[in-house]
Amino acid sequence: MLSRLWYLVLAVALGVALAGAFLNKSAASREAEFQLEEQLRRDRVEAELWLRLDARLRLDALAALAVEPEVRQTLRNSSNKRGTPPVGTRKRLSNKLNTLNAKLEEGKGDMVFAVDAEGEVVATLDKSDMSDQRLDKMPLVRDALRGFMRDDVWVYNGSVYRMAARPVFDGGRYVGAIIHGMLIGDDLARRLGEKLPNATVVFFFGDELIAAHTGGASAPTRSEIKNGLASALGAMGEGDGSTEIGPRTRAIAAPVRGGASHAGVGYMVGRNGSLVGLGGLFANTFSEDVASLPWWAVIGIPLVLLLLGLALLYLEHDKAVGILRKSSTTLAKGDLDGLPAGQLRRHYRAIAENVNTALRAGIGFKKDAEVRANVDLDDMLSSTRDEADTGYFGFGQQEVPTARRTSVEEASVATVTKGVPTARPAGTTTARPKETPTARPAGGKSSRPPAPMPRHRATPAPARAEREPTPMPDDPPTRPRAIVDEYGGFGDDDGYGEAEESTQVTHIPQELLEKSSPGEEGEEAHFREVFEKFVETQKECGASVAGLTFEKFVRKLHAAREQVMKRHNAASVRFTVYVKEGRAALKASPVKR
Amino acid sequence: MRGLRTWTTLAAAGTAAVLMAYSGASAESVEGSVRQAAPAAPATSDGADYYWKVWNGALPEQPRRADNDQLLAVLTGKFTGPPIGCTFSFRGGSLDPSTIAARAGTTVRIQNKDAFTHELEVDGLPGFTPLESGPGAVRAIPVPAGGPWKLGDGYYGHVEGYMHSIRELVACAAVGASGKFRFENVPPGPYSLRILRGTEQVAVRRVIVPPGKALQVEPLALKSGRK
Repeated sequence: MLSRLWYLVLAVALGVALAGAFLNKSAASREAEFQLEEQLRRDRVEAELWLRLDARLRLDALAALAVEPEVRQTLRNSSNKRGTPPVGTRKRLSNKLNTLNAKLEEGKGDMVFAVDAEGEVVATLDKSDMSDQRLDKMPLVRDALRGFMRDDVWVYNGSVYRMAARPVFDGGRYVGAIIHGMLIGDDLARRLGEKLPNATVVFFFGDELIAAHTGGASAPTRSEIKNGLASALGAMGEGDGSTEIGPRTRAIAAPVRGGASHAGVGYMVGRNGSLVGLGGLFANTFSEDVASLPWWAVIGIPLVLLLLGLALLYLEHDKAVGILRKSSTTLAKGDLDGLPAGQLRRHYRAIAENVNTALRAGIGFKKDAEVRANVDLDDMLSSTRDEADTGYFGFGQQEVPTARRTSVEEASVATVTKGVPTARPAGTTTARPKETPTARPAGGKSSRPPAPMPRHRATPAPARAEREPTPMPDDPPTRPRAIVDEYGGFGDDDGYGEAEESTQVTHIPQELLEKSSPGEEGEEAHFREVFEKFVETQKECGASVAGLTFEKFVRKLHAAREQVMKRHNAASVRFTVYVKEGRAALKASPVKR
Repeated sequence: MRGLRTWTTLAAAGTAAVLMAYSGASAESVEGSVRQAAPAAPATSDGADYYWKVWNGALPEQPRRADNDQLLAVLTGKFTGPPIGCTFSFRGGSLDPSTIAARAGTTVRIQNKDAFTHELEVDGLPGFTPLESGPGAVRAIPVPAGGPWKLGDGYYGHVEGYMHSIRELVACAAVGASGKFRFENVPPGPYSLRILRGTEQVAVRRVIVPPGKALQVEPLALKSGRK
């Protein structure tokens, strides 16, 4: 029971360990996802800060253009009542803008406008563009003309620009503004991506990517980001943070700070998360983590549990099996009467008790029981017979049946109804009392169909002569098959009886045995009677009896009687003559005490 | 006394008939103005559209201009000819003006006079699809009865306007930054002068355009109301 409990403990421990592993995996995955979300939020904050700083740097850089005398003079002239300057003046201003713009280096604009106080474009970087263009209703320009430095993002003819505007004043009044735009492209994404290691940064316009930078092999690819753009935009619209765009990839999207956000311009930062599976639980394990493990608990507790389990197994099973093995070996050698049930517990004890019960009942293999119940007396006699006695019953020199052929069958004690002896009545050649009541139904017929009995045991004589006699059980006695045969002889032509399981086998009271025992004289008379009957039967069978003397016959009967008595612990033995294979044969019936 | 009233009525009717008779023969101008109100707030909130909007540190900032972009003056009356002056455009980066009107059942044309592309949007107008309009391109809008409809731009969030469908629309005129407006080539006759701002009519006056001379309308006071 304890060992089974131990199996339960092991199973529960395994289940707990697995559950813990899975819970740990889930917790680790959640933690990793949480960390990734937090990282993306920080990325967005950092990107915003960087874009803010970048906008400020562009605004400051525009000062070089806004304070340029030629710019101020031209814009002042344009803002006067005189109107738009002549084309030549505008072209010169364009050249000046190009020169000044080139000096901005990293802040060099892709689009620069010089507008007068009415918002009319006086000059651009393209000196050939002298069109009548106004920008006065653009919020960026309007604010710049009011005196503010401001940034914005524009969609301008299909491209997206980061804009910056700075007012131009001359003579104590505002005369215009410088409008500066830088195209949003891969360069901007790269510069921003450098601030966000291992992240992919893209800028999008609607559902198109207009700039991208992949931050190394551990960052999501551009196509992964593009595929997840729709879901990221959905999350952005719902005000959520990052969204999952791949098996372990998340991204966060944000609109650009500017008017172009209305057109769907924004940026997105994507990152790959840590792989956390059952195998990935240890992916992020460091040697410090391993070193910090409580090894005494990791190794000691399972070891103690293992030893406890082995001890329980030994106590419950191995020990009992060992006892059974040793005792069964001893039992097989005949040194033990039974298995030591007292030393065993529970099932093993029950097994031993059952085996002992079977041993006491003499239950054996069916075939062995049949062999035991019908021991050819000749076999027994042959073991005690010397060479000179060979053919004692067979009269070998006269071609008479050998001792083997003239067999004497041994019969066990047949005790019938309880308390009724199987004393052989006087004047009969069998051990069966004349009118002994038995459980046998009247008429001598069994209620069950008689099992056909072989007329002669087919056990090969040489083999049996070499082996030991089959051990016979001591208590209770085996049902005397021979007597059954003899009973079968009553009224049966073949002289064999039939097995009858309803016949009760029991001990015969000693007083009855004594009464029925013929004693020394009775035995002599019994031998004489058997001898005469044997000779008579031989003659009737036409067999020769030459050489057969009573003394020799009696000597053999004594020898046979001693063996049967010893083997069956019988008080005496009764012999019966019958015909077997056309010759007289003897059957020995032990009479129990 | 009663006879005098009768004769006055007859005289007015005769004058109207004469004016109507002359209407096919002459066209006059109508000038007017609106009293300047406080500058309206920008159409769209630009509070989150920038990282920086800082004073330049040298000159004080200019006050917001009252550019009256949201005002549109219209004449309505019995006139079957095509609406006069009712052409609109993108100019300076937005609709100019942002309130437009068209006669129900006709088509209004909006030209892009900017150097960059716009994408006009009309909310709730059946059958209208926003399309890009490059520099110089004209977008025609079929105007059914009903309205007004909100206008926008797919690229520029600051662009906002309204389109009115008026059954007896005669002429349209933008209101300048100074508050003045001017109708040209208006046939003589009685009309209703209306000032529209956003979705509502903020001023109305009955006028009679005389033949042979321009009509100068007294300044109109605008009702306060939502944009």
